[in-house]
Amino acid sequence: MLVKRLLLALAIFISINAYSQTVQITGTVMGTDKATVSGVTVQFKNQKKSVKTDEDGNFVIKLKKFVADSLIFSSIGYETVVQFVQTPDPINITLKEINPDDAEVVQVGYGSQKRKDVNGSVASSSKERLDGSLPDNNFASAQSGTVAGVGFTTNSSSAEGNSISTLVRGRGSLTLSNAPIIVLDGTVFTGGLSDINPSDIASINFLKDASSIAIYGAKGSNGVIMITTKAGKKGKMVFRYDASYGISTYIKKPDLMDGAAFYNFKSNRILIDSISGVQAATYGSSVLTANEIYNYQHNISTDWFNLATQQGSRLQNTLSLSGSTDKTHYFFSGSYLTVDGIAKNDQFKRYTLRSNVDYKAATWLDINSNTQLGVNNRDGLPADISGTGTGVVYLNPLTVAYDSLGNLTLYPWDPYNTVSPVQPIANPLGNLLVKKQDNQYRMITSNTFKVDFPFVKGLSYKLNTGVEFNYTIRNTYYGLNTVKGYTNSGEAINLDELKRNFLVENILNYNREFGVHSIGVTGVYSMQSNDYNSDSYTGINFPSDVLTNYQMSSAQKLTQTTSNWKENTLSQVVRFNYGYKGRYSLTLSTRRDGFSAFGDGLKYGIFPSGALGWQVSKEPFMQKFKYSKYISNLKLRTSYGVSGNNNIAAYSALANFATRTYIIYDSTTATGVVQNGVLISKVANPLLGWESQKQLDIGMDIGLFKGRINFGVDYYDKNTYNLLLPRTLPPEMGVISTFLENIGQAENKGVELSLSTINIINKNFSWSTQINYSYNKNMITQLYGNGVDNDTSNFWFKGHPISVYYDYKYNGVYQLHDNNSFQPGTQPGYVKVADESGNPTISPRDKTIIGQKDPKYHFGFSNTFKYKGFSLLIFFQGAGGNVKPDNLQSDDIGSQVTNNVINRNWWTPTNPTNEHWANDANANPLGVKIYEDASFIRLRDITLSYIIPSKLLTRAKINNFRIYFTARNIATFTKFKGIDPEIDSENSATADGRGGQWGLPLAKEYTLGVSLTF
Amino acid sequence: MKKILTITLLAIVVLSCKKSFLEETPVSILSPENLYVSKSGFEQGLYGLYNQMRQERGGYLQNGSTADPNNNISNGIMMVGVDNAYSNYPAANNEKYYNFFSTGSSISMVADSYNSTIFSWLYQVINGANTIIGRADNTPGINWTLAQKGQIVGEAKIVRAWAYRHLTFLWGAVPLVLQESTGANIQTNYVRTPVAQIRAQMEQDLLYADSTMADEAIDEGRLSKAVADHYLTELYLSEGRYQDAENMANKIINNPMYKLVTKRYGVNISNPGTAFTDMFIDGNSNRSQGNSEAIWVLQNQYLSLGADYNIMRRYWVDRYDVISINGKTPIVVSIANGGRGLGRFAATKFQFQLFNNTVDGRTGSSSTDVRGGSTGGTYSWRFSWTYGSPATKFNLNYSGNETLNNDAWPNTRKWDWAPSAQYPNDVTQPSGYNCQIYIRLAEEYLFLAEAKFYLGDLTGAAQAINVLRARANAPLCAASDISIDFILDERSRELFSEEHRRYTLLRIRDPQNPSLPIWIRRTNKYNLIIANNPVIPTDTLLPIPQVVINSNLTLPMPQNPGY
Repeated sequence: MLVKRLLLALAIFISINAYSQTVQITGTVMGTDKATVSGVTVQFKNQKKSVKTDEDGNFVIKLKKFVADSLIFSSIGYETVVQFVQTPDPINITLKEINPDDAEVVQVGYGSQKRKDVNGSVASSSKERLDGSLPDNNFASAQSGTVAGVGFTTNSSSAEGNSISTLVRGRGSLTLSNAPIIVLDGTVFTGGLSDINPSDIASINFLKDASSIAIYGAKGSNGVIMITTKAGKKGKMVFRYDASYGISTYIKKPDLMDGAAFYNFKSNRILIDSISGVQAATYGSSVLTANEIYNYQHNISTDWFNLATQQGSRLQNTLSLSGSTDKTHYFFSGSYLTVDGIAKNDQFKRYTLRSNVDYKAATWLDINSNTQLGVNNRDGLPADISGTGTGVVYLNPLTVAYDSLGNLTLYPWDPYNTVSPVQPIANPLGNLLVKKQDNQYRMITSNTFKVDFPFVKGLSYKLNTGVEFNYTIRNTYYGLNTVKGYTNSGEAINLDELKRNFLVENILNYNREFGVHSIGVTGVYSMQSNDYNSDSYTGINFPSDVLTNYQMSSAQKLTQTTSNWKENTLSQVVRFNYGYKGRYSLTLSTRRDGFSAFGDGLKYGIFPSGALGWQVSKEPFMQKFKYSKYISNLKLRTSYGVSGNNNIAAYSALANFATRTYIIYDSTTATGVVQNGVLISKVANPLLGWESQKQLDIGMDIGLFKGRINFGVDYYDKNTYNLLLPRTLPPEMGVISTFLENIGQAENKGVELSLSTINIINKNFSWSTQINYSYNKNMITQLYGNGVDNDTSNFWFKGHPISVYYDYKYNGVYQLHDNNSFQPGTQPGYVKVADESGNPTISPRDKTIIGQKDPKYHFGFSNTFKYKGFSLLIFFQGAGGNVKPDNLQSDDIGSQVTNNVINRNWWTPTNPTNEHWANDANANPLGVKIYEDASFIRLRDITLSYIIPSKLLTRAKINNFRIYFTARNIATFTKFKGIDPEIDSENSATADGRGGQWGLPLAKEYTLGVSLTF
Repeated sequence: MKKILTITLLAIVVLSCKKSFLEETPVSILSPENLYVSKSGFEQGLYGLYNQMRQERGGYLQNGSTADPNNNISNGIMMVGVDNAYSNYPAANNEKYYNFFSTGSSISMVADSYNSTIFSWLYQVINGANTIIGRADNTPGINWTLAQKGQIVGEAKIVRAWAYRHLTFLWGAVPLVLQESTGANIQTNYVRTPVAQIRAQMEQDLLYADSTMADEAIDEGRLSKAVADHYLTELYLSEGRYQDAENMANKIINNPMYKLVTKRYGVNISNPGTAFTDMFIDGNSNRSQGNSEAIWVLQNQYLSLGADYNIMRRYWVDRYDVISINGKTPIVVSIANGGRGLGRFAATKFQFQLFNNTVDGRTGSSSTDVRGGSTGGTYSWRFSWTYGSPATKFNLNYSGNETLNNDAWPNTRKWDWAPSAQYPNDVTQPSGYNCQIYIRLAEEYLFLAEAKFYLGDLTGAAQAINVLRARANAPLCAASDISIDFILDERSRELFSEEHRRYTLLRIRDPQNPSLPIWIRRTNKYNLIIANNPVIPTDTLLPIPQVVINSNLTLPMPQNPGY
């Protein structure tokens, strides 16, 4: 607006003076390719005179009187040129195009920087993966495999799809969370992955190196994910509508036995004598139940897995409206997502409404508000797939799911099999009858108020306030038709949960250029407060099911649990940026953090960092280099700094009582009266502090052939120290809880590579490729520090990765004539354990580190082909270097052979295989597992899209119409023999047993969608 | 513009001054600082200790663990693996503590979790009691009278002595800790305090309780002065201070509040039974319910807040539902049959011989003895089961030796399933939830007899014992019958599965070999399961748990001999 007025004033001024013009300056503006450039603004530095070049790149400035002055030539997409003019002769100017990569702006802590000025390691998300044509419920799923150094692992498959763990540059902590923090529109976000609608996201940046993360101090050491939501673009109002519908099925089904196979397996199985503990002469046939025999004889066999699964579906609609007026940029969107998972009754619905408004109230005042309102609905309980002993993958096929009337049986061992020793097992489909209403209401808002101080050039103040408000109501009712309800005469659980997060930040920025020097100073004062409150009531024994969750007053027994906590953070940050001639840059920063949950003397910590950058390609000597014209960018950078991990719960440092209730008999009423008792459960821990991390990063960015090839490489060395490790207190202290002490050290070293190339580009066809690869070496470098280098109960070993499998190694099966002196008492067909200790007989010392749980490397490989309106994306993703137990091979079937297992290649004297031991409960007394290499390559996405030519659309007033088809998880290439090498990462050291391979398999998805703007 | 700047700068200054922003003031968690400031707060601490002590009859993995509290009973080591009890269906983990101790054990008891958990559990009790005792004196402004304070601190001191009693009997010398544990006083150089010194502290604590507490407990089920006197009596006997023991035993016996139950009473009066067995029936165990003999009753209730697991029935009732009769298992789990049992623990054959035969020349009891005689004891023991319709009787044959995994072996009825008002028919519940007697007056008569025996007053000893024998419908004994073995026999008849039998046998020297406790001879002789792996002096104490040794970083902690 201001510009317009100025121009108007200028025009009037020029026209008034037209008759008296005496001098005119003419000239032509060209690009480096010798083509003329139109629309370039040409103006004097000291005179109010400005014109634009015409279509041929020519300009004319008429002057009353010529005065020597500098002329400034500026245009979007070109570097500005200043030319001093001494005489009014015609001048020819060549403007240099700005490399598009130079113009790219990335979000860093408390501000943004041009990509070329970033000295740390900051990776940006691929835009293609945010355009909504992929079936992603959250950004993590959308980014999986696309960013070097950031490993996303899908732990389990569900409708909501939020079970994804993220590791940035490896695992640093043994006991605290390793998840990076998320900063959403400048506010540290505390919600879940599902809460952010990915189609509202404009960009995601991953901060990985010390200089970038140290700005987040005690929170930053696991990396920072900066998410910026969309803003209105300059120009007229644009509507955009996106809709997609997809279906999904499981990629693989466990090969479970059917009734006949199970009958055969059970009959032939050799049992353990429950009394003597030694091999019994008896076979499983002796414990066949009447039901099993009856069902077998009548060919009744239930495929529980099929009954519990379905074809999933996914429907998403998003409508957005964006644009700008003179002073206001706006972006509004509404979305609706509904997903039915492949387990029956597993569903997730999300409704979001976003309004992002930026209002420039005055030249010096900018007000911005980004707000999302959302509801997440998780009604219903999914069928029990993997519940230990109760899920469909465990359930005996010689049972029945429905009774003669077609209703689900309570106990599928019909008639209700309560005969000892077989405990009644609930029907895993019983969950379908549970009434569960689960709504989560969420508001996320981030608001800024920015003042540019007019009297100090380059100085601005920004007030940033963030609020998250999260309210959950979850009411669950188990009626008489479910086992829980049947045994308790109805059970109701009512939960209310409120979680809040407040952030107030005062940010001062000073940015100025003094000739060849550029200076930036940022100061932040920030306060953050999180709190949580929940109330949960469980009532049992109701008069009837009619009133479900609304009859707590008639419960015979009511138990309540409440929880409340609050944690506060107080921080001060100073950052200093210095640049010289755009070639050398320096960043220094320090953050001081205070966090309430730390011990009394250790609440505050200081986190300094520094970074250096050298833009080699801008050096004059490079211009002399013969091939310099091919090098559009060459930058070297390094950074070093300290950051922390404060992921400890509120009140961790305080002493605490546990509730231990008692009863006192009241003789007057002849009833017991509950007495609230307490017992010390935890002593105060005044020395509890954050875990610290020092990180060195050395990196290089290369751009070749005008940015057609971009290559980046980073080497890092992270050292985490003051690791919190649990120390066992002397039992004489009478407090059982472990005491966390900052004593351990761990190291992550690695390399990250990223390469993007435009292989072919011409008028109708283009082909581009993106590759990223990262390798991380993880190691515990110090454990308890008192000479204790191995902790076999937590599986921590000095000199080895943090997360490893430590176990006996499977070495095949004892064959008929094998020497079994190493494992006395074994027979042919029994599991053979590898001798790792060299001792004559087996002992726990033969346990060994089998391999690490986290992948050593991750990679992604994507190709995009475009032909006219068609576009094809093919994306491969992979990880490897880790092992995983193939726990489908486990024998978790109960002493009475009650549970199902998969078909397998049993050893028999006539089938002397090493693949699987004999069908004998005694064959694997140590529970030895078969571990396999879990490396994989997955064809994760194929997307074919077509943009309908605009001439066909103009009549319908549609600007852009795109239609696409996406297929996900089409093929996986791996040596792993279980269901999937990625699912269930078993990251926790204690995770064991059948685990994720018995869970819901990953889904294959096919999605069809449209996207139009008008 | 200037205004904005001023406000901003002001805001920064004001906010920076707010130092308390990082101080935690939790509203949802309790700590000694915010709870132990009033009388009711101290009482909450006591209730927590009652809960801990009640767990003696629950599964041992209590410490907030998710493990099944229906298995691995805590008190097994206190009363099984002795002359009168063995483990019939042993759980594999704990069999070493009951049927063969260190001599037949292939797995280290030093590192075993049962051993370390019991140890930790008792020190938790001690720390809880220490916190109450210490803070009662050092917290200003508590709203209690001197008498109320004396009562509360007295209870805490009895609790502390109770825990040290367990510790000294199980491990011998252990560190004597009398201060509240905090993060600031983590100690890694504990020293094992001699037993005599620990007992001196126990005596001091119990005498304090005796002097500050009232005869009557504040509430049903809370500790009273008599509990302090009871433990003092036992302590004096352990120390060989027999005159003190006699005086203290008499103090309780002569207190008019406590009387032996000699007449039928209570909820079961209309059904056949005996006065002796009435005390153990649900609804009868509390003093206000008519049990004048009760000194301390553990409180419990089915399926409510404040209730806890009690697995005495699960452990002591045998697996009658798997008794095979003509190829079938006709005896069903029912309330009438005492509920479902796992038969983990059982009486040795010796326990039955105590009633019907003469043991080693000592007069036994008669078949009419209501505590276990083959005809009089049918309300105390299951000697037979009935099944089917018409009712058929299945008599158990217990003339042979005790054996492992014997589903047809008599079991005590003291811990039968207690039907609850709410779920009267649910016999599959693993735990029992009734109030149960923990200490009763009968034991004081046995203490008295023991003291008199050692003081040379055999007539007095016989008189004390005859009070119990008269009530039990057993023939009276004479002064000439009295010996320490006879007194121990009588204790077994009266207090089977109630007393901490192992402790009793450990505190009494063997007259045939005075350097050893009588536990070794009697157990090896009368427990025919243990006789296969006879116990040795090492087994009189458990090993100090490895975790205790490991966590004592700065001073070596000596292990008990033999481990």
